[in-house]
Amino acid sequence: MLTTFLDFDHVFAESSPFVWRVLGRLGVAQRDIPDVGQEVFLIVHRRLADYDGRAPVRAWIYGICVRKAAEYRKRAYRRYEQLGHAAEESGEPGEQERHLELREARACLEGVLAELSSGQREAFVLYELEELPMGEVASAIDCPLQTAYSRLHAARKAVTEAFRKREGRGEPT
Amino acid sequence: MTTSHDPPRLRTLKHELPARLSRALETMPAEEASSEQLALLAAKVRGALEAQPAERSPANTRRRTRSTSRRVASLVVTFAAGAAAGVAVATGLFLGFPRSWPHATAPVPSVPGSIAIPRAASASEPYPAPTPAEPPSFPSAAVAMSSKPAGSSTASAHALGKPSQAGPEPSQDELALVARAQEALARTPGAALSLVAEHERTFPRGALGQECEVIAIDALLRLGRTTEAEARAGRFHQRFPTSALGRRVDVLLEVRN
Repeated sequence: MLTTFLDFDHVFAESSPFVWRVLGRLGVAQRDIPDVGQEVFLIVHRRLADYDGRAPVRAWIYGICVRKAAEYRKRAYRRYEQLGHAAEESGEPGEQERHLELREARACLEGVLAELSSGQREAFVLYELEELPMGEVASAIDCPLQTAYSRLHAARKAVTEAFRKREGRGEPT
Repeated sequence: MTTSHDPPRLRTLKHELPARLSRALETMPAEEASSEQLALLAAKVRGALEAQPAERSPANTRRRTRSTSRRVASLVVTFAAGAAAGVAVATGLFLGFPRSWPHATAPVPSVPGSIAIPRAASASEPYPAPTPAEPPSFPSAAVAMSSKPAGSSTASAHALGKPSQAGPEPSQDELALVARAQEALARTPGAALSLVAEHERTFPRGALGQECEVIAIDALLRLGRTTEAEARAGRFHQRFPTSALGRRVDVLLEVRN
């Protein structure tokens, strides 16, 4: 009877917001997220009945996202689409002003993330942006906890340094 | 899955960070997909599931066919509530709120081979029996899914909602009772109310008190007892001011008023 709680529609309703979000953060262009998200949920649907319960469902689905996004990045060889840029044109002047800094900051982070190795990027996105506990991060990226820590550590260092460098040069995004 | 040694997140160390990085980290966790985007994704997934051949292995044929159809139908219901409600629907909790969404009682667009969404069953079988092939680990998985890292304010903070009282996990008996109440909601809201009352008597300090309150409010609204529902909602907000279900309560009232 309790199995009903994890029926596919429930899982979909609960996980689709983060699936959408994390795919974008892992480098899937906005216009491609529905397609990649569909692939993710087809796997979830196919495997839900066999899901072994070793990892929390959330980490399991994050793991599928990580793999699908990695495949996507390989496929979409350098089809650069800076997510911040499309939105830059729109908005009221006042609003533009207020959000300019923020947009710059985010675009900068996206640029820096794109430069990281896959493993580092995944650890950084899942821990710093998705705020999963490290245990789930390791489970989602399918590596030992210690490896996840060292990837995160390296990623944090690289990200912080990249920002320092850019600020030091007074470089715009 | 230890989390006790997790380092503080970068965004909490903002004085040590370049200003621009700190700005980006501060706001990015709160980003949300729009309801339109989620509805688009739901439509794509639904389309793909409908197109999928229902059978994969002979042993699973019957079950797959049935469950696929049912799941497709449920998705239709979940996102038939319209864009405005999209986020709220997407934030349904693991107790199956999407199914109990008021609009869900509207006719479901027919899906080839679809069967009815499980309704409250007869008194002799208050809740559908488990499908034997489903793994027994699901209950704990459901609880695991409902835990969310602290400090996030994203939509999924609702979606994956913190367990109502962050403390004990519900017992199987409690889960079963609340599940019955939830199932009864659509067809016999009066029965759902009785089951909630039974929950209060049996599990006065249960882990699913908030979920029960939401069911009760929903049931009162379905019975047209709006004033009582509003009063109960007020008490809910007083008792659980930071509940992840607070928004669910508000949406219920908005839709009915």
